[in-house]
Amino acid sequence: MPAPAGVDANAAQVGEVGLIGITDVLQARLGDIISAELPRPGVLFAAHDVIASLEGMLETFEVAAFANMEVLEINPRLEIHPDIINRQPYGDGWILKVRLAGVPRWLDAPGYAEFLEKGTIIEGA
Amino acid sequence: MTSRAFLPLKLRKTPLYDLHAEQGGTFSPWRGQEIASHYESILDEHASANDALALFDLGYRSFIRLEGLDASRLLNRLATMDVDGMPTSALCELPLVYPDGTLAELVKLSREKDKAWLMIFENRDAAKVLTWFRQEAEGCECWIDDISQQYAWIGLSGARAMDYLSCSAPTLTNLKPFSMTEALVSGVAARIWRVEDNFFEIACQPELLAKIIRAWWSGSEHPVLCGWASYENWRLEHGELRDGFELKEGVTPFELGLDDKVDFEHAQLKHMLIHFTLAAMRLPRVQSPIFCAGKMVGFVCGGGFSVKLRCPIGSAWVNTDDVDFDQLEVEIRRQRFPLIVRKAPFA
Repeated sequence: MPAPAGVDANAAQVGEVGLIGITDVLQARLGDIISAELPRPGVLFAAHDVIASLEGMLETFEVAAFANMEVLEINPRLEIHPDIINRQPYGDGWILKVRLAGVPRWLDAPGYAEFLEKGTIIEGA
Repeated sequence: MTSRAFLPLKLRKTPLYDLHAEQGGTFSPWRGQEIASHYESILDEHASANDALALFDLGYRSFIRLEGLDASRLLNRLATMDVDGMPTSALCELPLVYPDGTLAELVKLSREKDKAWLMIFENRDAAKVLTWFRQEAEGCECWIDDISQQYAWIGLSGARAMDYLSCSAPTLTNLKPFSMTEALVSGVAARIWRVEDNFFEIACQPELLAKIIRAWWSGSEHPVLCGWASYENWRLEHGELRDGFELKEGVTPFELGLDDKVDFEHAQLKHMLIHFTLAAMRLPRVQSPIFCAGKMVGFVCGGGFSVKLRCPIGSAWVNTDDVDFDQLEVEIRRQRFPLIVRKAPFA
């Protein structure tokens, strides 16, 4: 099972630009993604807002903002080939390019691996 | 600290569990079994089942045998069709009904011998049916046995299925659709049902099933191992009635559209099963509400994606009172989308 490349939570700063995608574990859980509903570039989101919806064969997944953010770009490939998210979740299957407008709280790669193993999220990790 | 506990479920393993694990399947529970839901792509697996060769694990099924002078009389009392006319080795889909006319089970029935019948159930738990049959069989000369544990099941589907199977079971060349035979498949004694032109169900001793599959895989062309998700999607596309989806308690065979399998007349239907397609690329999920002119008139019982039509498909229970079937909508994630009622199978 591939692990996500991981991020350094301490390095994320307001104003930083990054790509949002989903993990390999999640894409496998959703099954083939047949469509992705995406916002328009320029839209601002608050933390916890739904920023995109992925229609998987097994489940629908609503991607939530992990911080206040502005959408800069959507992945143009997803309109025709949304299943690229299944095939390359950490590469060409990225979903949105965003600029952070707040400090995110997220799991780094070891924290995510621990979550998968134990099914537990430790707040503040 | 926030904790998310995952409750352990008591799941059984199908005889092909090790094979699924070895092939890197994504596991999720299905019909009480620990079984692979899919491998790389559900839709690619489904496409193989249509156009090439696909292998489904059907290890969650039940298998009941009835034998005796009164076996057919018992079946005729509980079923909607007269089974006496079925030739030996024939196969049919048979609705079993309660005295009030509602569906108890939809089974596949094959006539093994003159006085012996085999019933195949989608569900591994045959206890309810066994109890019912044994109550009904009191005073009859009919032996009823659950032989599920003696067999493991697979399905072989695809445009090449007949030719492929004939290579490993040479006596099969004349097997007609809707019939059963016994044959050696890769040297293993098996029962084979030809359920459709391009779909075969194969049952053999559980410990020997992997031997058949490994023999197939040693050849240059072999079937794609599929998970339950592509099997269910493929069945929905074929318009099959599935336990836990279209089939539910309290419905009659007429409401399910099984008129051709019932030997008596019926009154006007109050609700009925429909199949539909969607233009929007959203998948209808189980229990999504169906609306007509702003009024809720039903709910989705199964949703998926047609590989043939390249659009979302579904089945739904709809009340027939004052419903315009051209004006139906399905609500998915707070939005309503028009649906197009179609006849199954989708093609």
